Amino acid sequence: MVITVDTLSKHYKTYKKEPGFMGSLKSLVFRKYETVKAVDKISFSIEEGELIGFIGPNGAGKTTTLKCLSGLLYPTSGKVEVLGFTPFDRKPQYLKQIALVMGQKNQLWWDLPAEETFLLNKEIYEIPDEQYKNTVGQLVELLDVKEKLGVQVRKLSLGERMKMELIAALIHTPKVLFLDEPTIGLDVVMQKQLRDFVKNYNELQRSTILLTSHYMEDVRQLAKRVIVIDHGTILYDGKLDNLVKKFASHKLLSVVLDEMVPKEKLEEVGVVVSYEYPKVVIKVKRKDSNDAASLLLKKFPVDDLNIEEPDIEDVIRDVFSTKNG
Amino acid sequence: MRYVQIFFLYFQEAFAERGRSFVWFLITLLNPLLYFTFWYAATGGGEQTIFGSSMQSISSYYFLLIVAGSMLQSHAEENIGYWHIYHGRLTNYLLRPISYYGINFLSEIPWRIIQGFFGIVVFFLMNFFFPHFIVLTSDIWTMILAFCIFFLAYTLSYAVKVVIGVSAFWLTDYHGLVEIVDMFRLIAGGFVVPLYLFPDWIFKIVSFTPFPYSMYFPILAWQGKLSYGELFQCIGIQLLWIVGFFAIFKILWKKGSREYTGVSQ
Repeated sequence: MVITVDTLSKHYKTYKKEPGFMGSLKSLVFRKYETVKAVDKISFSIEEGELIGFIGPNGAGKTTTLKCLSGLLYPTSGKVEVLGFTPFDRKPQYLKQIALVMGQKNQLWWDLPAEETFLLNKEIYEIPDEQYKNTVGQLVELLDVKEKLGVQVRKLSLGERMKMELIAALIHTPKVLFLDEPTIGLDVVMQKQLRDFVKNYNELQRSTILLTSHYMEDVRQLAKRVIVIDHGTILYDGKLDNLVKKFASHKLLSVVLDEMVPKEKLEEVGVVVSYEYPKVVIKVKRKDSNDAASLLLKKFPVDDLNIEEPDIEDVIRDVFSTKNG
Repeated sequence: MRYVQIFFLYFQEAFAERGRSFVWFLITLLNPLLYFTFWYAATGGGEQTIFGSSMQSISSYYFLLIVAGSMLQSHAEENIGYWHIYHGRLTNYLLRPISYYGINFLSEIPWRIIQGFFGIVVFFLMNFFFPHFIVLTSDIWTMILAFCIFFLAYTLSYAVKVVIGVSAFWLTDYHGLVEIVDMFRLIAGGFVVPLYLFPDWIFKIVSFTPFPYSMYFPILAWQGKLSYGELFQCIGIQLLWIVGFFAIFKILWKKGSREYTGVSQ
């Protein structure tokens, strides 16, 4: 196992002020603190070369988990082991094998071309000249930024900067890569380019990659295995396909009608999600889907019928809203 | 070799922002010039002495203060406290296999050299136009020791400022602490008045702080006002303070880096 996490917790103590002026006065003497459980007793393990997607709403604990795994945060309790090291010890041998890329933070020098930051990292990570040339050459080609290497970072677009950030983070060819919202704020074209790059990189280098993203498409395209996290606890850890089976309580019957049928009659079968004649989508309970399909075929003029899984994004939204509701 | 390469890369960054260096240098330039003007008027245009000190001695002190002020005073607390800890840029340093203390030390030297260069230019211009106002040591060994004292003065200033900077792990606004320390630094470091003009008891008290060793004594060393014994004593005390502050940094860093959340605090 490359990563082993055993009952990891990260709790913060935050000061809670009562509202208004009196609350402010009171807080001068008496302060109330509350503990926020950003991550609470999570456990999982990851094998070499896996590409895992972390899914969860804002404040679920995704970034905190990545920060604990990379060694940025000191855990409140639990045990974390990455590549045989305890991350928070931040031993140079460990740091030379990992990289954390955060979409909203940057390491590039603002007033110099990105190439100078690459050179700085070359020295910091003690990369031999030949290896540096090869790695940068490959990354520059994969990300198609050769023309931009000599341009001042402040003059690059957001997408170009993100590509340069990735190169800077990958110069030492890390074995484990933590990507926190790498596509945030990028347009769809750039998102796809970065996605393709991450996929290629994972295949070429056999690096273990942990990815968090708000864009479901990132996770859908890249990760076979997902970890769903909410309120600091893991709701699901497994294959993306099985996530739908586990959490979706319903299926969708996608029907093409031969003749117009009143909506009320169709609601005998299930909840009509959309009705744009001749197309109808009906939501039925997962266990009743076969019976509902037979009923439809028997009672109504059906030209075509498909039983479909609901969209993964809808399933996840349902999971979080049920849990938070 | 690795650190030399890193040093030169940081030099490029400082060169790229040379305009910023020049503005900061102007601040360092104007203060001593202001004090110099005051003393010039107070000595009746340099005709009288003040507490036994001639105008020539005082003016030399202030012109050297321009160089020392721009070259020896670290501003590491601003980077560490404000940018790294409050704005979360510490993340970039914590996850790189290099000493945080070392890389910050190295990265500031180019800024000090560039600002110091402006100071040296002003110093030589003054020396050219008003040669009777400036006295420097001509003894080569004193110069060598003064150079060592200069370097250690920057190291000491950095060691103090780093400790102030890491206080941002706990303080929601560490600038108050910066202001308090600065007040002591200005008085006890000899920024306002050369310490030899103070009464003996005040001089003795401030001698027990690190501040005179990061500004006042280095200037006196270049003026040739310290004997060899006093020069070595100064180096010894500087080293003690540097080691002491480094130890404080290590303790604070160990505790503070556990408080770090990686976002703006």
